[in-house]
Amino acid sequence: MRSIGKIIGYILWIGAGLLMFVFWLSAMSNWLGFFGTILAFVLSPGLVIFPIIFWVVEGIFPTFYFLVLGIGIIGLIIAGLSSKDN
Amino acid sequence: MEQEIIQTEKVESKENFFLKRIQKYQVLTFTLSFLFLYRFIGTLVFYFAEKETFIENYGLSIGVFLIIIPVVYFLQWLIVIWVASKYTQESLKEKFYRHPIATIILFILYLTDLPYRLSGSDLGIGLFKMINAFEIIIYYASISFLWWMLICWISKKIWRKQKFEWPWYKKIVDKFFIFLPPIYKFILGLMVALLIFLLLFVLFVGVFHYSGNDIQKL
Repeated sequence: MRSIGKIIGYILWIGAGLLMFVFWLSAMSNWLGFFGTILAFVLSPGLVIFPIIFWVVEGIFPTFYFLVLGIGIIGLIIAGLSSKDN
Repeated sequence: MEQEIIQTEKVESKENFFLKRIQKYQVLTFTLSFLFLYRFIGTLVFYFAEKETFIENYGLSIGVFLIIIPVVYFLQWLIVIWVASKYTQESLKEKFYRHPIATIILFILYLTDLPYRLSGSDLGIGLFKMINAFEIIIYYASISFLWWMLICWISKKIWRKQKFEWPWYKKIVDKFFIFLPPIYKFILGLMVALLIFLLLFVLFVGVFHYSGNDIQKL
């Protein structure tokens, strides 16, 4: 049962991470083209810096980024609780 | 004094009947709980959203549905737990070793018939299609397992001694017993995770009134 809990938690966490990366990659390639795509792989978005830059540049708060981050944190909590007594 | 202790133990063992079974067969309980909640909540949501559900298809009222679905899933859980309690992993493996012909034939029948079962059902779309297909695969596998048990029992009555013994067959059975549990857990975990992801996303979208403007900018 704990192993299923860990699987669920990590899938949520990794899935959320992938979606956040796609968001970051799309934004970078949109702003800087091919160079932005390469930079997206090299650089790290940072928890606060990228959303602030996105907010300033696009004029819209990146809600999607934080929604997915929230789901990822819930996944991490599930995985943490499932591996607590191992 | 002794009688009192025995009586208390009896009461405790009766009280803990369900708890013990749940703890012992966690994966089975989790599977059926997940399928029950998916079916129950899913149908309620569709019903109140005034979309077509199987309630209308079978001419049932919502009240009957509220009683029947939990009862049916509870009975299924009892049957599955009863069957599971008959075997340990080793005794089940021995049974597979002992009846290679029945196992191979029923496995081939299961694999060849499964696509027809799946194509004959309305599976829906996206994640729901995946979960509905998973449910059909699981139920059909359970029914096939019951048939296999019956055939093995009849075969044991007819042929007292084991007729065939193939090393390659034993190896395949061993591999199945090694790889199937983690694969099953991963598939089940993946579906539950995707459903949780979807539900949390819908919840957050509702709470924060998210309109998707930031995605449209990309």
